[in-house]
Amino acid sequence: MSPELLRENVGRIRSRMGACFLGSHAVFRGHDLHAELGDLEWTALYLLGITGRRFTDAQVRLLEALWCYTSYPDARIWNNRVAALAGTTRSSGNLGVSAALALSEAAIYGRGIDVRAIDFFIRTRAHLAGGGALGPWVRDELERCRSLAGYGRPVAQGDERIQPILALARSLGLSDGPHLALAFEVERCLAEARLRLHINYGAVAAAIGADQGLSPREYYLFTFPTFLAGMVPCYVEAAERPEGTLMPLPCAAVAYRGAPRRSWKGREVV
Amino acid sequence: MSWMERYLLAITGRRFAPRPLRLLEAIWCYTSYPDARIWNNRVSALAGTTRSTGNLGLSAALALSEADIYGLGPCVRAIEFLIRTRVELAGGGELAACLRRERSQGRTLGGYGRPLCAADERIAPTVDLARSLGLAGGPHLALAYAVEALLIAERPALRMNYGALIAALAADLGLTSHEHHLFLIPLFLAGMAPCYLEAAAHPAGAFLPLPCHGVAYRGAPRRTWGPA
Repeated sequence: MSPELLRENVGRIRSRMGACFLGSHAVFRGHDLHAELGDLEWTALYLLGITGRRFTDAQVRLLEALWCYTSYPDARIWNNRVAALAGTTRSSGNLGVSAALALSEAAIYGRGIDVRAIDFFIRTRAHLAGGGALGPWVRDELERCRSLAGYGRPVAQGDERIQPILALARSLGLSDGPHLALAFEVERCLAEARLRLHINYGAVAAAIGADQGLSPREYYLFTFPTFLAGMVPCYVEAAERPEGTLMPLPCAAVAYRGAPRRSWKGREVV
Repeated sequence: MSWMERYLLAITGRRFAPRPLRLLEAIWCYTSYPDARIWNNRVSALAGTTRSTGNLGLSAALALSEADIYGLGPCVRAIEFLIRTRVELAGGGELAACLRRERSQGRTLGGYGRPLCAADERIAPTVDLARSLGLAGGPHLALAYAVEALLIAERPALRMNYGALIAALAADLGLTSHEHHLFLIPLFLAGMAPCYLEAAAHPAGAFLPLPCHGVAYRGAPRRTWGPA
């Protein structure tokens, strides 16, 4: 970053994305937000903001369903728990949900898996198009990363979200994309290798995103509100109950393994 | 069920008909400005320019959308005021007296007045849509206009802004102030992602750099740290 470049940008924002002209109009990705995009539903506008592209009604319906079908108002889920903690500690709903969204970007759940899954499918398709074989590629990936994002699930093997989203994709005529087919081929490879890594919703959703033309980065930003609709009820319920009663931890549950009780008197200050 | 319907069900436990859903969805859309000068969008853009992640940038931008002078703060104050005032008027109260009391308590009236420009470009399209959906005849909206009429007679700059308008429309659709607060969480979200993306596409650190001479230091003068 040169001083010249910094100087050029002091007090100046160069934007192709848009701007607000107070009291007159607002521009969103080159369109008048109210006059030209006023009929757009919110998900379509969100997608336009991320990609600069318009999606068909069927695509918007399917992509939106990716959020809906995993919106679980269950406070045991790692990120929902944060929303619920905000409720039980009487923080604000906005802060609780923002914090819950922030840590939805986890490495073992949520955004971390989403990005790895779509990136893997896109790389794998390029590998296959170059004449590579799927089996060794999957085994290499598994060896290198020690897990395959979108395959396997803690606690349960089945994934109740897969059939409904596939049924919806079929009903919309959007289930024949190459990434979705690849996602199930990978599962077959894993089964042939006697690995009990069944496909989960992360892989199916990433494949659907890729089939609708989303790049990994676009898909990553698209998935930001994935769990949002399930977070708010967790906040509301904890806020309605007596404060501090969500998952209190009794003293007896802390198994202290540190230094034993000792006196501070007469200790040398180091 | 659309995501919007699900989100409202999550907040309220109630199902909303297609026309109210359309209006509520438009309330988010019509103020989704991809303009990085706006206080919360700026945070999203700072995440992009510092090469933080989009998820963290958007979360932080949402967190501080709950500001006292912009965003969720005035919106929640506006719906609380409109609901409270309607109850008082139904009990025989007088609007001018309600307003005097509100303002004498040192509270600014959420939803009236706008910095830089009194006109609000979001109002006409939102009211037009509400009218076309048959949802512009509610008592809170009528009250919001009545408040505006009283205020501008005294100070023309205190025109109704988007905060009061959407508070009135939401109250007319049956949202409580608490529900409205939760409904508003993604209000600006669709405008935030483009700000992140654009700053991330530009050279690192190039978004609104502050030159050294932009800091007017007013603290203790240069001094030695030796014994006094």
